[in-house]
Amino acid sequence: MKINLLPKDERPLRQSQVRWEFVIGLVGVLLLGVVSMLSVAAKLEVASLIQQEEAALAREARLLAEVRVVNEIRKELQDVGAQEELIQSLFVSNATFATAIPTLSNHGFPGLWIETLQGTESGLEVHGYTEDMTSLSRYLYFLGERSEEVQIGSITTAGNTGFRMFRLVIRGGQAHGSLASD
Amino acid sequence: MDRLRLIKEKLTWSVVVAALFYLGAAVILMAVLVPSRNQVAELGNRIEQLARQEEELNAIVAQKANLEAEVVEARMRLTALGEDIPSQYDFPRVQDVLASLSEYYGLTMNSSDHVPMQAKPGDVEGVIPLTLTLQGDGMLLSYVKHMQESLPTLRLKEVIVTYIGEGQFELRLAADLHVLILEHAALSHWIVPLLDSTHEVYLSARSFGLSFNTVAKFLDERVQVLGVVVTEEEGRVLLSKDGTRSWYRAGDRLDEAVVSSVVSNGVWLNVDGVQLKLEVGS
Repeated sequence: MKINLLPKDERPLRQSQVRWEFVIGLVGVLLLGVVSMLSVAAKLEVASLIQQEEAALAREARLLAEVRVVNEIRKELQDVGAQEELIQSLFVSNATFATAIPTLSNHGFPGLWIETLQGTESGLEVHGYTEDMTSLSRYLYFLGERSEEVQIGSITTAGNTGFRMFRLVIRGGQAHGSLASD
Repeated sequence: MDRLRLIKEKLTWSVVVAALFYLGAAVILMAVLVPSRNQVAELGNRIEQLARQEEELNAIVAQKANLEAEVVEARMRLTALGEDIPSQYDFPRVQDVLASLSEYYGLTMNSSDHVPMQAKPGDVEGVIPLTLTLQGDGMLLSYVKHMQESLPTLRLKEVIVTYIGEGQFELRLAADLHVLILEHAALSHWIVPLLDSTHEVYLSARSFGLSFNTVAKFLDERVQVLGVVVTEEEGRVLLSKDGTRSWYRAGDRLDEAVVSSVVSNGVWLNVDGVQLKLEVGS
């Protein structure tokens, strides 16, 4: 029987045993290696991303220059549009005076004559005279059918001539915008 | 003391080296790895944001071709509109057009007047007020219609049509001609309208009569029937006008009136379509 008189810490290890100091040291080395590698990889990634960012900024600068051009074109389009709108507003539309006059004046009522037709921007005035009030009433009805509003501006008796002078005001319908409207 | 001695005994060089490894790993972790990862995340966000902005900018830039085409189109429309609108330099030619138009419809232009345009710097359009007086038959309205179509920026303010007898009318017209204010005459695109068509708007004189003042002078005491002689062959009437006595028969003219017929108790006068009967002693 063999008795080992060496203290336990100093005894030689068996082949399958390792010292705890070695294990801790090995783990430390591995940890240091892993952290170092990850750090290098992160640094490389940062460098790559910085390059990507710089490229994106360069593209953005180029695009911004093009966008400025696009905005100038858009401004030009707005200016041309405003000019077009202004010019359009100068055009007189629906100027029906010439065609409205024959429609409103060509009556067949006896004893009723038109002296003057006066077209303004608000409507039409008919100045005339009659020796037959029935004809005037029929003419008023005739005008009423062809316009929205007919008013008797005035009727005056011309002395003892048997004639009456009248002024009629016509608005809307055929007379509407007879001179100019938008 | 025993504890310190125990620690000293345990603190071998291998333990110190292992501790330095851990310490080094911790330092690298805190000083390099963590800040780098943070920077990666930050850069990633910024790149993502830039990508989004780039996408938006690309969408805007993609509109360039369309917008350019729209500008070209709008400019063409503007030029086309300019062909219908005279500039201030074109006004003499506008007056020529108005005069030619009156000849075209067989009308007489009695007067043509205008107020010179007053424009302020920066104005792009101006107004030239003008007045016209024309005389002619029922084609006057054709003139007005043709004028409005040839000069679409002519805004009529007042038009007065007065019957002046024998199928003739007088047209008095006040209008504002809107013109473009240009720096040079060469910039005008206005095309002088062609007088190659006729606008048939006819004003019949049938419903019109001379002014009542003209008619009334035959009704008041200025014209009196003094006597009538009616035979089988003809009738004659003695009329006094402004103190002058004369014999008239059917067809004779008395100023604006024509004797239509002589009847036993008076005479019928035709004052351009207005029939008046004057009786003896009235």
